[in-house]
Amino acid sequence: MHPIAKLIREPVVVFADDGHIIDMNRPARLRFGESANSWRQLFADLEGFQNLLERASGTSDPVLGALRLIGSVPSEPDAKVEALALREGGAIGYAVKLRDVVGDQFPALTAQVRELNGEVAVRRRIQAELEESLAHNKVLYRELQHRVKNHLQMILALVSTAGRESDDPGRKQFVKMLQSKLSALFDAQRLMYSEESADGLRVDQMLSALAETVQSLAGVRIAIVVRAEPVIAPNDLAFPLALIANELLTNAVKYAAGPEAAVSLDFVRSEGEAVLTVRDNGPGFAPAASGPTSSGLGLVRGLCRQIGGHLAIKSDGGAVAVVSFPLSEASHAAV
Amino acid sequence: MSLDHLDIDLERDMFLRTLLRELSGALQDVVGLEEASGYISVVGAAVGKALDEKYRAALAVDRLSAEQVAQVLVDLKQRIKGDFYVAEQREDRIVFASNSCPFGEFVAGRPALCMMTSNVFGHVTGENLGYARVQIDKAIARGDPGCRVTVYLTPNQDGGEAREYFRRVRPELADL
Repeated sequence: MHPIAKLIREPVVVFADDGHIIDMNRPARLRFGESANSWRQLFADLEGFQNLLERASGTSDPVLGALRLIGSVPSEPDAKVEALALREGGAIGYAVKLRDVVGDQFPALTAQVRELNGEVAVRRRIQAELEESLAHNKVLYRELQHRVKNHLQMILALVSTAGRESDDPGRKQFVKMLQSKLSALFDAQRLMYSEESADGLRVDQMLSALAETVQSLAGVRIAIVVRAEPVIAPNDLAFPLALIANELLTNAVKYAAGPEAAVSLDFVRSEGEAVLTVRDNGPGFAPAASGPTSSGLGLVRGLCRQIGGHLAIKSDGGAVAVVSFPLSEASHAAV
Repeated sequence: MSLDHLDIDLERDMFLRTLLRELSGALQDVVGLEEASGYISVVGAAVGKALDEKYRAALAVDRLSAEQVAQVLVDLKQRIKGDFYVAEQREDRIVFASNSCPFGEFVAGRPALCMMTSNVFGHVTGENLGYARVQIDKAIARGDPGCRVTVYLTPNQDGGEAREYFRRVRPELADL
């Protein structure tokens, strides 16, 4: 090919009058391959190519046209081309230039970009499917929470009925204890269902709800002061914490009962740890607690172990129970 | 209510010439004069091919002579109100002149439309005489008072910028 063809950035192919490829410039070799030797390896339309060359044969100037390239997908437009008749003596050949394909001087890069675009499309489709699946699972999860809440409510009602129908004081006390524990679980479950987030629930709201329930179940007028930081706790922490707080509050209300009875519940968090403190102004803990109280503390200790926490009790103007436990990264302050 | 009485300069010929002016103007604005000329050449070549076939069929000849080519080119221009005439005819050239363009005032500022004349003249001459080089010496579209078109009948080493036309050949492509 004439050296001046090196200045042409678009693919240029020189054909003999029978369609054999005589020469190609570098962009054309990159585009169509070194081994291309016939129009058949470039264009899909015989008649269109013949018409173009015929038109070119009638003039000295390049003629414009559009041809379907081999391997092009249906959505791709035909390639814009220019054809120029080359006359030498009585012989005629044709130079055909592909227009507007300067970017294809990097065919490997173009192919890679196409491949990446395809991959992005596939990933987007997968992501859309996953998002849809996640939304569906969230609906199912909420439905499950709703049913658990309803079932707990039903169990609570059954337990209350059993307590009311019994004349046995021991049985009544057992039912009341059971009712208290189930109420704690119910409060936590109710809050979990009402929370927008499926990851956890607000500890401050849960403790306030628990305090109200304990108050109403105690059957006596006693002030419970709740001071809790707005922290969102994961579900696997919230339920044991609800039972712990319920147990400690129930004990405190029981022993603080009196004309000036006062119970407080504090929940604070510091770096990586949270502390729940329940305090009353009763007689304080006996050196070796026994009976139902010690049984309740045993439950608290067991639940503390479950959440990796620790229970400390002391007497300081009344009974003071301090539960400290690690607060994972999943827990965070509510906005 | 009929609007026939309104003084609106519109009928089919006027509408088509306006359409052509606007189309060629849009083409010049969008792709530039050179490329617009290329597109109009494609149209001109097709029109030239069709007219050449009509005249040869009407005159019942396989090929027109140089004399007939000059007559045909003048005739076809006059039929479309181009008012062309042969200003000079020699062995190696035919010079055509005109004081009016078939496109009328609509051609002003549309030099790409001159490729219609170049291609029709070139195609008819090239197909019948084997060769033509068409040079637009003057053009109303370029602001000249009239048009002057020289059709050279023999190749010249110093062809300049004039466009050359040849008898077309349809390649027999090997189905490799």
